[in-house]
Order: sequence, then C-alpha cells, then structure tokens
Amino acid sequence: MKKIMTLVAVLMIVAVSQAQSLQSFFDKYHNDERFEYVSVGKGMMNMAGAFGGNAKNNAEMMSKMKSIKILTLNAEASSTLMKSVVSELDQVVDKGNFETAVETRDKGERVNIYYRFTGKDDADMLIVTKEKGEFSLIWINGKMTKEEMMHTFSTNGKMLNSLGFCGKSTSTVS
Amino acid sequence: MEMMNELLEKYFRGETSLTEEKELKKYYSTGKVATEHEIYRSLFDVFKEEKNETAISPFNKVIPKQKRITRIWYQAFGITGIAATIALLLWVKLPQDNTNYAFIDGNRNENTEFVQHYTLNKLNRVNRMLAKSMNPMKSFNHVRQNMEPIQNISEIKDKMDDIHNKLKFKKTRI
Repeated sequence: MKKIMTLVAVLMIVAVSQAQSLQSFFDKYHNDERFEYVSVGKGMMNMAGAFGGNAKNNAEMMSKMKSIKILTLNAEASSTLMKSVVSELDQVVDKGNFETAVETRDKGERVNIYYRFTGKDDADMLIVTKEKGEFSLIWINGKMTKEEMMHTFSTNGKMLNSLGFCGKSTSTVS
Repeated sequence: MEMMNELLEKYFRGETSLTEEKELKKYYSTGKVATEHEIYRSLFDVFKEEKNETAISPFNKVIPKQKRITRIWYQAFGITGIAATIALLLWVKLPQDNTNYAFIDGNRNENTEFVQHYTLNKLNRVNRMLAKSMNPMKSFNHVRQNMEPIQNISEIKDKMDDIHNKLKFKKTRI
C-alpha cells in the first residue's frame, strides 16, 4: 500500500513538473517589458469559434481548447537575450517530452510545432516561430485526442483553419 | 568484617532491615571491599545503576500502542482540515483571474478586442509561414490529382481483361 502511494505521488509530481516547466517559462517572461504576452481563455475562444471559418468542425474544435498563450520577443537573433531565451526553450521542449509535429524553414523563417499529451486526452501544442528580429511562442492547451491533434496539422499548411481562427481576414495589431 | 559477613548472610536470608541494606550498599559503593565479598559486588552495583536511570513516564508504558496511532490520525485530520479551510478561504477570497489579457511594454491590457486581434494576427502569420513552406506539398497534391486518371486506366484494363476472359469462355462453349 505504502509503495503504491509513493508511486502515485511520484507520478503526480512528474506530471506536475512536466506541465510546470513550460508554465514557469511563460510565468518568467509574461510580464517582462521586453516581451509581448497574450493570454486567451476558454470564453474568448468560444467567441472566436463563433466567427471562425467553416463553422461546425471549427466550433467543435474550439470547444476543446482550454487556453492559448502567446509570448513574443522582438530582438536581434544575435542578442544575448534572444540566445538565452531560445536555449531555455530548447531545454523546456527536451524536458517536457514534446514530439515534433512540423518543422519548416524558409528564407530565415522557421516554424516548429511540437505536441505532447499530459493526461487522458489532455494535449499541449507548442508553435515556435522565428523570423528576422522576432521570436514567437504559441502554447495551445486543450482536451484533444491524438487523432484530433493530427487533424490540426493539415498538410497543405492551413493547420489553424481547423482551430477556427483563420476564416477571418488578417487584422494588424499596432 | 565479621559484621559485614553477618549482614550479607541476613541479606540473603531476606531478614535485613532498610537501614542494614543501606549500610551494605554504602559498603559496596565506597570501594574498600574485602576480597571475599567481591563476588557480590555486581549485585549491589545494580542498585547503583538503577539510581542513575531516568524514570520513563508511566503513561508511555500503560497506554497501548494503538491509542498513539489514533492520536496521530486525529492530528493528521486536524491539520488536513485546517489546510483545506485555508485553501477554501483563499479560493473564495482571491479575485478570479481574468484569462483574457495582454502584456505589452509592461502594461496590462484587458481589452478583449485587442487580445482577439493580436491572437488572430499571430495565428494567421503562423498559417502564412506554414503555407509558404508547405508549397511543395501543394505541388505534390497537384501531381497526385493529375495522376488519378492513370489509376482509372488500370481499372479500365482490368475490366477489359475481364470481358476478354468472358468472351473466350463463351467461344470455347460454342
């Protein structure tokens, strides 16, 4: 009995620490003046689903999303801050048992998409984009199965259509 | 010496008074003990050791072990109860965190429209980058679509073979 309880406790600690490392990364930089940070909760995602592309599937997908967090750093690629943030993120990805879903590079633009399952159908998707002078990190958390997660990685590059975000035209934030 | 012999004989017969026993203890504690009396030294040394022993609380001897366990359980329940109450109070008292917000240049912005636009903009950008990188896949799909008639050719050939076989079969019957 004692052994089972210890095992359960260890497993719980491991599960929590896995989630925490990415969480702590966001916590560390979310109110740093050098970064831009946006957090979207469930309520707002339902709203986005309401006006998102081709309705039914997207709305269903949106309802499964729990949160979206976006962290952006505008700095030169050679700056020490950028270097330290990138290496820190690499460690988080390594330790967090993420699997690579998509990895693209095109004329200095890079997109890496990672995913992992933390619990029963509890998934994390991490989108890392590197452009000239900009580094963005998008963390999408939701209750999805592996199939649903794979469905979002549509091969024709319109993965986020299934999230219901891209039906609307682009509007710039300034 | 003779007096000591008499006292020892009396002691072993169990006829000594308290004062006589005290005298015997005193005799052995002084160190000037006759060699013939040395064999009884260990017996009287026990009294000396007992004198140095610290008394153990009689409760510890009397209270059964089971009672101690129940006391620990009571304590555990008490502590858990207090912890649960504190957690509940914190949960009730703390303001509910708004999950839809942005941190830009160190300023918190809770304008939902802004947050929404920012998120859409970011996701669209990822989409654009992915679409750009996945262009070769598009061509691949195009090629695959164009190859579909070839698949039909093999189907037509199969059908023709089938008809040919049937005709052969008919000829042989005639």
